[in-house]
Amino acid sequence: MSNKFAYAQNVIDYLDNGLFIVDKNFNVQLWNKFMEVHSDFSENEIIGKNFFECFKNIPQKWLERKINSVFLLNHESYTSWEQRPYLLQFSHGRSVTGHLGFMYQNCNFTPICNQDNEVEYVCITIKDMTDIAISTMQLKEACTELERISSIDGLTQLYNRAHWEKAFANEVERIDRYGGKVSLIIFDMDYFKSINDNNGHLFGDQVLKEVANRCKNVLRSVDVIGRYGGEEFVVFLPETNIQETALVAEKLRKNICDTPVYYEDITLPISISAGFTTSAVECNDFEKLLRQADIALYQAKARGRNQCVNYLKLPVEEPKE
Amino acid sequence: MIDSLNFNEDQRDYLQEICNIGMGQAGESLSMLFEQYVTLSVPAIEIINARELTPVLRRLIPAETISVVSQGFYTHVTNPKFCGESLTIFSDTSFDSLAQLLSFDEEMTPEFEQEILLEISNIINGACLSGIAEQLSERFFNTPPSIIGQSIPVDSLLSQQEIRWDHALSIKIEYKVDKHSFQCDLLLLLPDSSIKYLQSILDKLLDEF
Repeated sequence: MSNKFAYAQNVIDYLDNGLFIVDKNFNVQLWNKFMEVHSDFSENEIIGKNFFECFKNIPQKWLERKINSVFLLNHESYTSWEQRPYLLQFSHGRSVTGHLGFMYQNCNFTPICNQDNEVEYVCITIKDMTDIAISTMQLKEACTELERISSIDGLTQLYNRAHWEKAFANEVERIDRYGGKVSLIIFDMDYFKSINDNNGHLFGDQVLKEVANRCKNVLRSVDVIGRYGGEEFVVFLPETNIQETALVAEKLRKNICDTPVYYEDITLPISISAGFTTSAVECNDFEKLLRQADIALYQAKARGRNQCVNYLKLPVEEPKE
Repeated sequence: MIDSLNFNEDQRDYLQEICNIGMGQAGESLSMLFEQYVTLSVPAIEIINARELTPVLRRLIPAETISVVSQGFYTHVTNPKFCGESLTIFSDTSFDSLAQLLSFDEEMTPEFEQEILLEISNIINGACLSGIAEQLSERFFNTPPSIIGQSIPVDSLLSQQEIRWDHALSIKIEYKVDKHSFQCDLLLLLPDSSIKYLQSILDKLLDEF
């Protein structure tokens, strides 16, 4: 029996987890080697001492209540690194390759009962989760970056069509459910094909980048712009009426055509044609709004380009749908 | 199948009684722990078809969105295996009042809110299971709690394909802590094999009675 116990003591000591035991007064009853190595308290120094007197930098009220719940309910309790990175601030094994400043820990608080099934001690184990924490965080970062990349148009750094359309559809759904309004501008570079043909695609790309930047200077942070297709751009403007939208569209047009594009010794004036519309009081459909703005854009082209056309002001005899 | 799983009147009464006593003890422990009065409802016990779990949940939990913490429990009996899963369901959660309940005084962050959900669930679960286990002369062990959804619609809680059992015994308990206006439901779900085992324990206890 005593041999068996000595064996168990060895296991506890060389467990690759921290393990310690406290009584109802939070006095330490057992302290394994892992705890010695990481805490700077040897077994001899800490046995019989009050845990909170030895570790002053931990949230005492919280931990007391947690340990008390184990005594009271005779039920395990837990902490996880994902919510609470550590119980005791230890350094971790990856001091060279890990960029984290401390050991991430999962902790279990287990009741230890006497023969009458009353909880006499609480055993606390500390598991080093640093490796998993590092890889989980890297994975999360990669997912965030992937999400960003999948929603962005590489050339202009504006939202791509799929992402923009989803955001616009959500916005239309939102106002139909909760009320409000949204306006929409679609614009297109004038004579973009000949810009590309005459000056090369690199120049064309430069024009698109330049246009994207000029738009960002005009739009408010709540307006959402995306690259819809080749040289076609879309903007939706939450809580903006048609008069305000007309001003924004005109400002975009002016801002873009006021300054020519300079790139590798070529200077070229550019312009856009735009169509815009706004949501109805009810029963909105994002595809319908896109069609309306597109019809207005078509009119802007037909009327000689470099201008903005309001869908709501189109004469009735012109096709609306 | 469902017939053999149904409880006879004696078994049902006895199980209800055991749950009632268990909840009484749980309420006492929780009141002591939170240092204020905790009200627990009389447990509502029913056997449900696993395929109807979602509609049953919708009936039991009349809220649009919920936050749910799951925790497995089991005994050390291996044959048959007595195990189940408890779902702690928060319908409308004010994290500030929950934080007060736990003597947390740190700044509220998303991680902190999750920790509060996990902690409250573990405590409630522990109190209830200990109460019931003691009546059955069993001891339950647990897996750590994990959040399976935060502010999600009731319907999206369970994906049908994941259910690997036919029927479940559902024990629903409501909690209320008045001063901090906090309310949640605990749903203990036991799969078929555990229902049968529970019936055999009940029969044994009834015999002794």
